Amino acid sequence: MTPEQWHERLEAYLDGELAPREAAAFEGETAADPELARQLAGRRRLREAARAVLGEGSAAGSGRLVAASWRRLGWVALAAAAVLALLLLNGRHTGEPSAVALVTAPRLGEQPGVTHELAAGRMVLPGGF
Amino acid sequence: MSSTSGGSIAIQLADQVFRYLRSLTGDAEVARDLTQDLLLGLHGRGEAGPALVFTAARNRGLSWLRRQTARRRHEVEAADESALHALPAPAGDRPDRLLEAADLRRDLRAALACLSEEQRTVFHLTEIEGLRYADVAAVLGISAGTVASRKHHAVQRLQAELRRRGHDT
Repeated sequence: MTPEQWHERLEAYLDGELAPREAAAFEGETAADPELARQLAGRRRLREAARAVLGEGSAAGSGRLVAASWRRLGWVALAAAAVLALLLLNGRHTGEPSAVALVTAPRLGEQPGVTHELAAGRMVLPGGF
Repeated sequence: MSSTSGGSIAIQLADQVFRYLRSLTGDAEVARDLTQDLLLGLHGRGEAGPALVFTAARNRGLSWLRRQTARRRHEVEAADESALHALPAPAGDRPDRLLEAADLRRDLRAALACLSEEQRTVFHLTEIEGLRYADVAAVLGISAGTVASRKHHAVQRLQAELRRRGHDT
């Protein structure tokens, strides 16, 4: 086995990609060779450090993600209300009801899609990043 | 998980997607914005798995990187060359330095930036988010064997970069 193959096997072992029998064989070989054991220990240290640094933080960012989603949906609702108002005014001006004016503007809390996720609490993400 | 709608699984994976995009772009604020776009974009879609969500995340990250590259090229062309000489030299003159948290954070992110985008994706998704090689292979459109090879080369490069910055890896 070349050094490159051994390192690929080491990665597969740490990533849980080896079958149980292969993993046991790898552990046996590594335990019997101080240099391989040293390399495995160093690689584990890198993994711990990488997880500590790159694995921290959440998408929520102290609730900014949810707030931004609401804000964005709020603009949609506002735009829909503005269009509706214009159409209503236009219908009053001409004396004839506008067919589009019969459409009810969706309330912010009734936005389909993501807002339902929000209402169900599934989009409430952990903060603290 | 495979029968979950695209939006729901994206929400479940929001933190992972955010961290991946932060590794990919190197910018937490950009990663948040892209994650938010992804959540809204995937909402209401049909069935989705982690591979689809991370593929969509990667596409958004790559688009942002391309825009950044074009913008930087424009800025460099317009910049005074003397300003470039004022940039600080990379730290590398402190041998036997311990893995101090602040230094490690900075150097690990810098070392990660030295990887190719594909290596960064493989490293982050397997090492940090714990995705299976098969899922990462689906994200990148390569074989699981190639993922294993990319992972090995990514780790070798990271270790070399960290050693160059004085860390004992």
